[in-house]
Amino acid sequence: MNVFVTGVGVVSALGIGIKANFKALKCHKSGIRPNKIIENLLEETFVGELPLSNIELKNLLQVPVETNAPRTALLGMLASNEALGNTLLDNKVRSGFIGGSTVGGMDLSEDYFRGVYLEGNHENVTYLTTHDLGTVTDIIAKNCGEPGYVNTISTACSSSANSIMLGARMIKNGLLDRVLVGGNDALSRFTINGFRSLMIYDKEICKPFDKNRKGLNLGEGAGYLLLENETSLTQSKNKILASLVGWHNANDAYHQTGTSPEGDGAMKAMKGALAYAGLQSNSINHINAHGTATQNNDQSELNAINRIFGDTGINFSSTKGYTGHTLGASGGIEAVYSVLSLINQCVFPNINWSTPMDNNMRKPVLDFKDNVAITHVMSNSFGFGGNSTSLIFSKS
Amino acid sequence: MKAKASVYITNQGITVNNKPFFSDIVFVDNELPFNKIYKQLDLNYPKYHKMDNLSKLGFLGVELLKREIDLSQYGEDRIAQIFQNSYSSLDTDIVHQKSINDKKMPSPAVFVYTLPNIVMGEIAIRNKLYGENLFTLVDKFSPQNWLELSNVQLALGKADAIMGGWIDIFENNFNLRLFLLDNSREGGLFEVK
Amino acid sequence: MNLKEELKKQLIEQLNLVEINPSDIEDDAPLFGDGLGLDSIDALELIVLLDTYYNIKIDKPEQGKEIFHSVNSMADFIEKNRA
Repeated sequence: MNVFVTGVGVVSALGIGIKANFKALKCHKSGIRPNKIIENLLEETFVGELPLSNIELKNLLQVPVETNAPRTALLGMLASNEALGNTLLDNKVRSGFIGGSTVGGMDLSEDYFRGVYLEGNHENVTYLTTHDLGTVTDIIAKNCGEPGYVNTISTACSSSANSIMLGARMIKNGLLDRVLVGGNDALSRFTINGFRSLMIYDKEICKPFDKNRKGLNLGEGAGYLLLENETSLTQSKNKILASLVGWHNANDAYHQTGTSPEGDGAMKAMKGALAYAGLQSNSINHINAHGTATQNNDQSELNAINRIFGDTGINFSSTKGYTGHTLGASGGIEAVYSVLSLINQCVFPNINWSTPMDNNMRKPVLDFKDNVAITHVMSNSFGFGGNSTSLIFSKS
Repeated sequence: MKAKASVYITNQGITVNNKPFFSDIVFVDNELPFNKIYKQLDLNYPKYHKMDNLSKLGFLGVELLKREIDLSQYGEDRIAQIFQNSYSSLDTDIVHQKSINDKKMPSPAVFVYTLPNIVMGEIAIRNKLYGENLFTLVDKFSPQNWLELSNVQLALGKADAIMGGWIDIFENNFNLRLFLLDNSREGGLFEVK
Repeated sequence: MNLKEELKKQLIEQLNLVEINPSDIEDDAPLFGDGLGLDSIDALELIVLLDTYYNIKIDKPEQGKEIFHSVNSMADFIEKNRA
């Protein structure tokens, strides 16, 4: 049973929609800037922020302004609408929705707590009703139709990649015909303060895979794919954009948040995905790396890439210099970028890079290239808790 | 399909394979019993003390499970972890949020646990498990959903055993329902509920 | 109580070293590596400790390697830098 990708939708610091994101990626235009929409940070912070307020997002979605909807859900609705297009998630085929998130409704909850602590003001208590991750999924799923199966995955930075994997697995096993998969996360003070405390937050735009990288910038967004099998396609008559041919998840089993120096979890995820797809490593034309720009991740990931690809050259890049690290949304957004690579036969570069890492011969793709023959793209997402996922998409 | 082993740790006490366990440990209201369980298990694992309550609950559950089942019979990446809960990591999130509200320097050791899947990471580190790990959020435990996901894993040959179930905690209320399922047709005695 | 004794108590509390007593920590023993089994998150917690108890702010984690080598080196640094 094949798993076809027939819809893609994305929102990020680069803008709303595939067109806006593709344009910025092609023009090397980073979306990481000093914060504007998110307020009350301890200091000005470089973030990958969509420069629109929640009210503006609600207006775009034609959702009444007084509706209780956290930013994560608004971003998710925009991207999932785009991915779904005119296709319905209803009971004509066995349909589902699987969303990945870590932030959920935290943006509203932390505003509520701020009000209580600073002003003794409890009036925004309704903000708490949308705090949990499952509620955010429900808001988006209901906006998409009436999927028969709905689930929420929370596995840190690999959340939406795992949502994609779970959806694909359910199609492969004949449990679903059509499933909208991916994830979303908004910026929040909770996460920005937290990553600051880990001292892995760059005070400027991040430099993935660069020797002098100083850490990540957080970002926000949403990325969704519509996956269908042949049964669903007969009904939807959608065009096939790509196929999802391989996936694997493994645990690094090393540290709660750090990754093993040799990249064990990353290596197992990539190796497992290749094996599942029945591909050799030299079949991969491009890797959309996790590449957060922390000292730890990029070293581990590059070591893992070296273990899999040996002396063979391999094109790889991290797009986090454009979007920032969008946490639970990163797997979804980057899966969309991987599919765009296949559709447009291009590779997106790793911007903000100048110096190779020590003891390493590999350098990432530095310039946007099109008219390249791209058949198989691998997308990596490695989360805290050692949760490591690798997906492989192929040209249709 | 029935589980080969089950461990329940709830406010009502500990049950292993449907039999009360460590019944001499008194569960007091407004006090978590985890450190007492750790002490009684006589584990020499200082990292336990750094864990948050969700991780302690999962970690201890697996230590009890290991008394019934030898995990080494399965290969190191052949045990998959699949867990569900409703509170995510809220128990720890609140601690992190409080330090932001109090304008104190947030504790990195607390922030590290503001994700529900870290408990699987702790279990993996302790037991050297490199297999698949999945954490989903639902309103209440769905044994059917959990069994379905687990059976798919086993049927696909992606794992030889599934360890997981329901793990929820908020303040002084906790509920662990941990199961181990494998591919063998015999020996499954414990209903997943 | 002298600074080093105070520091040992703070270390135990901040790092959740439940099974350790102040008398188990020698003044010149390396804190990282085999000694107390501290890891990278503990190093960050020590930065929080310096800020919370001694009002000393560190913004580069790399500085930590020298400062947190042992109780002795921590005490030296605190004496020189406390606000």
